[in-house]
Amino acid sequence: MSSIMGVSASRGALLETRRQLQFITKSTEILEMKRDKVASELNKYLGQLGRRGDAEKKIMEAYNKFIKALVNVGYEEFNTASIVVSKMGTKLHRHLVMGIEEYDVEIVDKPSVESIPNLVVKEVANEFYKAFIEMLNVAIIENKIEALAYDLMNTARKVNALQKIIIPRYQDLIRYIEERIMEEELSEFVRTKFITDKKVH
Amino acid sequence: MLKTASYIYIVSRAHGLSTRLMTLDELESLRKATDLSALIDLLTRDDYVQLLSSVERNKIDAATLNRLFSKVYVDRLIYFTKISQGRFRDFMMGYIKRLEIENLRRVLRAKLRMKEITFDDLIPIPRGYTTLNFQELVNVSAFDDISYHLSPTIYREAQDAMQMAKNINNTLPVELAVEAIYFSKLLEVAKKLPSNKRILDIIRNEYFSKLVYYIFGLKFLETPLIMLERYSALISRNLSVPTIFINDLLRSREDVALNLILRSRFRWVVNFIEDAVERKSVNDLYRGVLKGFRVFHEDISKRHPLDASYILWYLYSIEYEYMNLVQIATAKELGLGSEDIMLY
Repeated sequence: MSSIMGVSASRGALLETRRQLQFITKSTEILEMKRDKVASELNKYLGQLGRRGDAEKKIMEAYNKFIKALVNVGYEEFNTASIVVSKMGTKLHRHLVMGIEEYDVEIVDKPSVESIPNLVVKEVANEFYKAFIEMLNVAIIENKIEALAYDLMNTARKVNALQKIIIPRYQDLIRYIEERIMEEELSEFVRTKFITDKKVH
Repeated sequence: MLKTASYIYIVSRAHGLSTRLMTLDELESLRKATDLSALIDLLTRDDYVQLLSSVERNKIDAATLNRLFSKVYVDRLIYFTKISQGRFRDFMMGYIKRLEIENLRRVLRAKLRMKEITFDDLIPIPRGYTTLNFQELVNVSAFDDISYHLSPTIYREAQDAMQMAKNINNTLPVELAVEAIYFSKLLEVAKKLPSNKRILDIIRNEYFSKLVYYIFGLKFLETPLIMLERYSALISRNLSVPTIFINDLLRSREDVALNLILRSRFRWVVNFIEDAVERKSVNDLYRGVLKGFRVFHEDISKRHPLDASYILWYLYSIEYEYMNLVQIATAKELGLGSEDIMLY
């Protein structure tokens, strides 16, 4: 009995290979759906990439205000006024959506900016906090985009490999097994007929 | 009214000591210094040279300079208090309490967050010039315990504000209360001075300029002004204005509040804060009120150089020199150009 790709050309092998092709085709469809979904998600977030520029602008504005405030009130007052601010606590949440790792940052403890008694320092701290939150959101989005883009690249590569290499190879294999079985059946038939004819004569 | 010997003496000493202050030209040259090192070279006044010589040159940064400037400022105030006599000494003892208020602020802020604070973190005020026991205050274990230390002092009325400060997690109510009490006591001693009309007027205007900063600043930051409303009666008494004027200022919108000030005797401040109010910038407001008050009191003192108000001009000039130097040193360290430094 001949074999290809380690599969013998038998009826059992044909059924098994067909089952495998069916499974691979279904998987390809699912991966295609995932690819489209990831692409649409990516498109949704790509529009928000422009927020980085705004966030950077806000940080620069806050920084310029900080410089002005520091010059005006001096190091000592700045230090004593900012001593009241509590530390910020954050929690990193990891989600798996369609096998893609996504991260969200939750602010568990807000820094107590409202506790600052010096109004000049408080104004700067407010600006910085807003700019920081904006930057944090941008970072979360950028992280999502990176993860989605990486996954899109991988999924597209898998779909291509399945559609252009694996599935055609399985189809060829099935065709080959079918032909081999037919050939074997035909030769069996001819052999049987030959023996029957000999017995009759 | 015949001027007493102590009056003539203290005004003369203020004139004499004012020659040790930096002139505007000197400050201008400091402003134009290329960097921090050049600034140090230009600090040639005795008071600063002596202190600078005690620090290694390569270890001097803006924060160190700020501390040195602060020391000169405190030393000058204490020296002037020491040489003053009679009612002027009482007045100076009242005036110098702004140093203990600054120390109290530092303690309050640190204790609210239970951060460590040592006696070295405070302005060194000689014994006898302060009513607060800072050795004890820096060691209190809880914010509430500060209240106990305030009770035997003139700041006992600020104890009510302690609870509010704790509730809103901000020391500002106590700081405002302490400041209101400070000005109230300063005005009391100033009333006992001979020819006190102009002195009282300048002190009231100083307090009003501070109040303008708080009122508009809190409005800009959309913070409730309840902490000021509680003291509107004391504030109005200090400023010698009807309580309704203060309440209206606190409750009205920024533009309406500006109009109210424009119709009062404090109208001089409006020119200096208009832009800040339009931009809703606390930083500009801070600069505006400081600059405005400087122009205001300088104008009075220049017109009356032999008046007791000249003492106040000298005292404020010490403070403004300190603030200008802090500003210049910090700006130089941050690499800002002379055009970014606006002297008061």
